[in-house]
This record gives sequence, structure tokens and C-alpha cells, in this order.
Amino acid sequence: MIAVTKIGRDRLAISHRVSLVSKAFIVVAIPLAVATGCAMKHEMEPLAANRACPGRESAGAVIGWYGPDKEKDIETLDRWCQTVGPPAIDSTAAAHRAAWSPGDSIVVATWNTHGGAGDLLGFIEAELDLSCDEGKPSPGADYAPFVLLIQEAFRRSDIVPRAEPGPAIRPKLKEKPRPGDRIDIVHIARRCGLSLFYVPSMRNGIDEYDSGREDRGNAILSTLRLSDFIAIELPFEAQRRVAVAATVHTTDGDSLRVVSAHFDVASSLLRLLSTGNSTRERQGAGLLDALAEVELMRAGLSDTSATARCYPWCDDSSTPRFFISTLVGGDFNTWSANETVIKHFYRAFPQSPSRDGKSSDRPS
Amino acid sequence: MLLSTTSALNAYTRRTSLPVLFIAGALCLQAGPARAQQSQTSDGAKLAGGALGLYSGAVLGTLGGLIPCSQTYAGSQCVRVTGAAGAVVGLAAGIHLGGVDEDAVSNSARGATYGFLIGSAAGFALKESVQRFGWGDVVAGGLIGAGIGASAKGAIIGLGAGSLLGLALYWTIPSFDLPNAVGVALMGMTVGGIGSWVVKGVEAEPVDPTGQPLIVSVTLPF
Repeated sequence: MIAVTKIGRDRLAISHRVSLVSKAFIVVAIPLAVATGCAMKHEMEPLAANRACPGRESAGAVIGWYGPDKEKDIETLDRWCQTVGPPAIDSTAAAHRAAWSPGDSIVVATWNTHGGAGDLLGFIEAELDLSCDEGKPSPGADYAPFVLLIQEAFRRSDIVPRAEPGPAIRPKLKEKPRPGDRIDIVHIARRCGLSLFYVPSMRNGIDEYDSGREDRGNAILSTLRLSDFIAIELPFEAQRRVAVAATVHTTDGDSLRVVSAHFDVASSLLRLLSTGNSTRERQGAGLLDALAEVELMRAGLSDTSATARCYPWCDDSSTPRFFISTLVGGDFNTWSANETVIKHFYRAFPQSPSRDGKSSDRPS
Repeated sequence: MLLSTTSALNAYTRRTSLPVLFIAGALCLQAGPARAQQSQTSDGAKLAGGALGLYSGAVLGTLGGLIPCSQTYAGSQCVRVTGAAGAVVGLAAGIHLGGVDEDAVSNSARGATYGFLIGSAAGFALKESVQRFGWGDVVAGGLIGAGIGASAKGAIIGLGAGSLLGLALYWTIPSFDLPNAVGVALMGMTVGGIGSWVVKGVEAEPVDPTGQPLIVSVTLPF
């Protein structure tokens, strides 16, 4: 029994030392960690329209523009912003647009089209029953008002500025070839008579793409008139990401805010280690905080107390925080179905449909 | 069943009594005779052992927490806690190891150096192949490599065991995502790496060479 007790004593000794260190750790390290963690909460703020970003300058009066309050984030985002064209807004009425009456259903779909790889025109015609012949869109029998939340939409235009190679220029998307024309988001909106809100996040390659310069980003397409345009520049992780939001209305004045968002898959190795894999958590927190900020601004509560701004970390998740109904869709790029950012969004939007629990990385 | 040698009893006790969390780490350490280690030790060795253990534990704790923590509300704050917990265990085990086996600390330092070089090389390869990676990631690769290299044997065996377990769970549980399998592999590496610090310290404990012969009666359930 000597060896047993000896080992036992050793363990006790180690345990005792660990226990002492643990106490020190609890006293020192945990408050530090909590303090650091709290510092990671990202409050978003309205961004001035006259900053060094062409999109913001030209659309500042129309678009409510929000971004992180950290200067380092803003500097990086500005460098990326200068390589893209201004946002595109088209809210002119089209003859085929049906009104959204109270009680009627509305179709909302979200899709990362990966540039021109997704046949958006074919989807609209086949699934949403809207034929988009050039200049003469015609709805079919099953047509209903719809909203499309698009990620990685692309625009080919001369208004996309020329740019020098650099870290803010991303390579062209490698699109899978498909039959049919490769039509950009602006021309799809025109061809189908749809309202459009498009905010480019980044350049789609430095080179001319089929004789045109391209940028890419999130977009909202709808058969309904869009209003109350909001662009939210998310905290910078790996690429500039701009979530877009707009509002659609029923005929009796009820409103629905729709949001199209795209988060980064991963950041750099250094950020992975230093931030504890918080890429999407940070961007999701930024988006939620910006949406809360929008609500507070709309309600004239911008000077409200820190308690009101604790969202989405407030414990009382049953309290409605949105003054109008809000629907967020997008490509969150989560690594698993149960990620922190998903949990935060479910807490912020408790009326969301439950998850199906299916993994997205397995063939169905 | 009679166990008549101290070493056998030692081995049996390790196999049966070490916490489950340290199984992977224990696997890398052969259940050989307890070494009557008489290495010269000093305060410097304790300091070096503590520093290496602290660093290695922090890196391994952080890596092990990355994916499991990403599925909690706490998220990155949880990773900070696992990193700090790893650092605390590594610090305690490293100081203890430095006090009983200076050579083991030297070996860990050598492993950390090799790990830094290998990690930096991997980081450089990433920098050259992925646009968003820069020199900071080369350094980060080196830092990760050093943390793993300081307890390479346990970390590698833990990684292997964790990978097998992760894949088994992935194949058998439909809702278990592939990233979760990677997470289990990383957790295995963490457990193996930090566990090996603890086990090395236990194993290197000097044993009285004049100890008495020992006969112990142990009943094993079969």
C-alpha cells in the first residue's frame, strides 16, 4: 500500500497546489476574462455619410448606415469600401406588383447565389411563378408577393471604380458553370420589375470580368415596394460584410423589416487564437446591436441607458425588443447547427421556427 | 491476485485511478517501472517548468475549447475560461515537474522549440496559399506549434484518440456534425497534452530506493 498512498499523497499535493492556484485564478483571471469578454461586445453606431466611402457619400441621405464603433474596424472597412461602387436602390413600382393584403401570405427566401452561379432568374420563374421576359414581367396563377434575401449578389458596371491590387481586393468568385445567361442583380431587378436594395461589400476580382468591373454583396429583391433602407457594416473579421435591411408594408400599414446578412467563414489564424474563434459571434452581435440601435433611434431613445442597450445579452428574452416585425435571413456560415451566433439569434428572435437539427455538412 | 512489485502496482493504479480526462495523456506514457529519478533540480527548473506548463496549458486549453465553446451562449468567453484553466493546470504541473525532473523540462523546452519551427513553417505555407493570411499568422502558427510541442507526445496521442472518437461519433450520430468531430479531436489533443504534464510529474516523483517489498491483495472484478 506504500506506493498507493504515496501516489495518493502526490495527487493530494498536486490537488492542493492546483486548488491554491485555482483560487488565485478565480480571484484574478476570471474577472479579467469577464472584463475582456465584456469589452468584446460590439456596440454599433450610425456612421456619418461624409466618410471616405463612396457608397456612404452618395446614399447617405437615403440609407441609414450603421457600423462598429471601433476606429480600427472603421479604417479597415473604409479601405474595402473604396474599391466598390455605390449602393443600388430601385423602388419604382411595376405594373405586375400585387399588393400585400393583411392575411395574405408572403414568400420569403434566402439564397447565397455565389455570384452568377445561382440561376436567380430561373428560380424566380420556376418557384415564384413570375416570368421575366425582357421588360414584360408577367405573373402566373400561383404568383404571390415575395421577398428574396440574396447573398453574394454581383453587379457588373462601370460605376465600380478601378482599383489597384491590395489586401482589400478579393479574387473573383469561382463560379460553377451553368446553362443560361449570367445576369447581374441590377439587371435581374429591372428585367423582373422588382424593387432592389443592393449594397456591395467587396470587389469581385481586380480584373475586368467579361469586359466589366464587378462588385458583390447582399441584396433584397421584392415584388413589394421597399422603404427604410438600412446598411449595417459588420465588425471586420476576414472580409467586409454589409448586411442590408429594408421594410415592406401591407395595405393597412403593417410593416415587416427584412434583413439579408452574410457572415465570414473564418478569420485568420492569429484572430482565431486571440479572439477564441469568435468570428461569427462578433459579427452576429454587431448585427443584433445595430438592429437594436435602429429601433432605439426610431423610438427616439438613442440616449437611453446602458440597460436598454444590453441586448442581446439581456436575460429577459421574453421582452419584445423590436417595434416592428423583423425577419433576418442569410448565410451565417456556421460550422455546426448549434453555434453561439445561432443561439444568440434565437434568443433575440424567440418566435423563430425551431431548427430541424439537420447538419448542413452531410448529404441528405 | 497478488501484485508483488511496486512498479506493477504503480502501473495498475495509474490505469485504474487516473481521471478519465487524462486517459489520452496517460496512453502516451508507458506503464513502466517508476523511475527513481535523481535529477538535479533547482528553482530555475521549477520556474522554467512552470512557465512552459503555463504556456502549453494555455495554448492547449484554448485550442480544445474552440469548437465546444462555439456551441455555447458564452462562446469566446468560454474559450478564455478553458485557456485559463489549461494554463492553471499546466502551471501547477510544470512547477511540480521542474521540482522533480529537470530533464523532462529540458525535453519539453526542446519540443516547444521544434514545435515553434514546425508551426511557423505551417503558418508560412498558409500565408503563401491563402490570401487573407499574413505574417501575424506565421507567428500564430509558431506559437500554437510551441504550445503543442512542449507536450508533443501526449498531445499527438490525444489527437489520435480524439480523432478516432470524433469520427466514430460522426458516423454513428446523425446530428453530430463534422466540425464536432474535429472539436473532439482537438479536445483529445488538449487532454492528452495537459494530461501528459500531470502524468510526467507523477511518474518522475522520486521513489525511495530502499523501499520495502510490497505484497498487496487486490480483487479484480471479471
